[in-house]
Amino acid sequence: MATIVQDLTRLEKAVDILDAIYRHRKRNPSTGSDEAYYELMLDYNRRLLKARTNGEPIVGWGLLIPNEILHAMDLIPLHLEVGSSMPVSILKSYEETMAAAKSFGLPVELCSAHRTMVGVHRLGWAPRPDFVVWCSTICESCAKSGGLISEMWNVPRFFLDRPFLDTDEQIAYFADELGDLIAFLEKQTGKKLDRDRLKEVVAESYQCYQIQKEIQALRCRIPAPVYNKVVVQNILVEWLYGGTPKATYYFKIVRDEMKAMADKGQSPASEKFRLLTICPPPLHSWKLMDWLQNEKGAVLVGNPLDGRWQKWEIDPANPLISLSRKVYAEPHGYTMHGPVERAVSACVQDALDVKAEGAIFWAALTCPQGCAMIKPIRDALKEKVDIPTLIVNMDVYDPSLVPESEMKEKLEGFLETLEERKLTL
Amino acid sequence: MPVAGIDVGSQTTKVVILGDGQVVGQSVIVSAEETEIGARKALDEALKQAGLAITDLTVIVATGVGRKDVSFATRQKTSLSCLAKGINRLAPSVRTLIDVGAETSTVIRVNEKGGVDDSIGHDRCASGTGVFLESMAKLMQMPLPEMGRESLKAQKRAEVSSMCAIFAEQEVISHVHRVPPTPKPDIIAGIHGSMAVRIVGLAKRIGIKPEVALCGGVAQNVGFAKVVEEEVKQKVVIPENPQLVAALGAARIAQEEGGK
Repeated sequence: MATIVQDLTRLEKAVDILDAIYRHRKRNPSTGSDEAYYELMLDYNRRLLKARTNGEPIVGWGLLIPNEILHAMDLIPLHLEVGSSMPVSILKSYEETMAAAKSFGLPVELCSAHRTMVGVHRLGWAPRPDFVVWCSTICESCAKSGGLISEMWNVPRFFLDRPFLDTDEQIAYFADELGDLIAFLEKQTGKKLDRDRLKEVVAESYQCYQIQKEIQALRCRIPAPVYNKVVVQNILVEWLYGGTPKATYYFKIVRDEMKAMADKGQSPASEKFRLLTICPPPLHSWKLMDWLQNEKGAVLVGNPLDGRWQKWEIDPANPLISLSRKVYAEPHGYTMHGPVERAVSACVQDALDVKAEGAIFWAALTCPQGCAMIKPIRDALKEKVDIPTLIVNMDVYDPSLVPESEMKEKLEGFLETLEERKLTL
Repeated sequence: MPVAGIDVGSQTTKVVILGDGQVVGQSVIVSAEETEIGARKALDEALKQAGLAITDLTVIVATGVGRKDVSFATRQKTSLSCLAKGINRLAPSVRTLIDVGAETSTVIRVNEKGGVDDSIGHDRCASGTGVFLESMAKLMQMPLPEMGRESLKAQKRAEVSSMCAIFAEQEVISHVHRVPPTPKPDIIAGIHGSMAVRIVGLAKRIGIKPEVALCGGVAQNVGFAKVVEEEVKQKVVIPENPQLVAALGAARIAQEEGGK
């Protein structure tokens, strides 16, 4: 494979922009959650740059692998799918990265999140990981792309085999996998994991889970004390920081903000429609979230696949079993990894809990995993909750596939029909 | 009090004027120029028919992809609502409406009040739309209206892909150059079948409830309409002016909102 030439100027630019946004937020406060979000994103990327300058090891870290292990070992992660691609979103360098992925041989039908990731690494824009860890989680792209990144950089690799279900045997199996992962990390870094520290980290992570359950409950309030873009911000913070004290810090702010609004019976904008949001919305168009809320009064009150935690039981004496259970309780891990019935029941239950009037399914054109769930979820929401679902064809990362104007057209039509439904019901 | 509905599509602009609840003027023009000018031209033609001036209109509702560019409209509504209202006015028993326009095809489940119960659209690909038929007409070296009539002579439908307009084009070319060549009526029936399979497949995703209606410019193609009936396995209602359904619905909404 061709040698990659490291070029961190894009990452440096992205850090400068994040810094400017963060400073602007501090000078012109909007919400605490927004400020905290940019603080964390800035900190994440700065840490990567600093690690490369200081010669500290960087771990290429796949999706939904417990961050608690890295935190307990003071290791710096480069989250492959999300962390690698952040500069692309900030600098809007979609064309270059997609072209790089295409020249590498990846077809346009492949998941754009993974094409972006491969493109970024191929261009050398992401810091070289010293070794790569990835997992068979959610989809086949996740299961394959970590290995590809390790080949591209010619670095050691470790693959976690995650079972499909969460029986006691399969939980124990995955806990063993995590044990093997720790052994790999210790060998690669020369650092020994302090098991007592891991127990503390897991206990702290559990607190964050409890806060997120409170956030879940606050979403049920009418009007909903929810900022639409916080739905997206929460996903990113959970992926990058989930299980660490910084995630707890952020989610506390979100919860307190929501609670303050809920106690006064307030919401960020006049609430006309309560909607479920299913699958990640376009990350290249946060303005769409604001437009939905501020101009149309459409609030994304429920996000069952991203924000609905299942019950997580920890065993204080056994942190690896606790973490193994966590990956199956985590929203994406529960709904996107296992049988489709789980996603369907999560959507139905969430719709009932938050009293949703409709649902938006963000159908990423290059996601067979997500799109395969459209019909069962749509049908179940119709039959069991009697709410319609709008399918919005889009792409999570690539704005060229479906323009914002087209998505707005569909959303407007859907909201019109919801308005008429409300008059006749 | 007269009202008007204007449907600004990607290729044509349609207007319906209602006076005392009846259609008193209508027009369909090819919108070659800027949206606003095309909309005004279409409205002027319909006004002339009705013997009215624009100042006589109390409410003007614009719909279609170009609705936001109609500055003289008093209100805008998306096509979904207007199509449902329009077909409900023309055929109140219709519960599934298939609209096939120049660049999009949409299926709407309509309730008894003319509201939208569910909908699904197809706007990412040329196959299943009017532009696909236009390109096929060029390939067959035949005007579009003639294509429709010719397909009625088919003995059977030739196999033509419903997956993609490009694949379909390649298949049609191979049918033409076969030895002996596939009869033209059979090829055209196959082209219609390719579109119908795709669109009816779309409809099945939200469920097909009788009665079924077909509208939009492509509904004027008798051959296509026949194949749609074969695919849905029931008689399909086709309004007299299938292109005007959305404009009529917009006019009806205008009436409900202020006109009489």
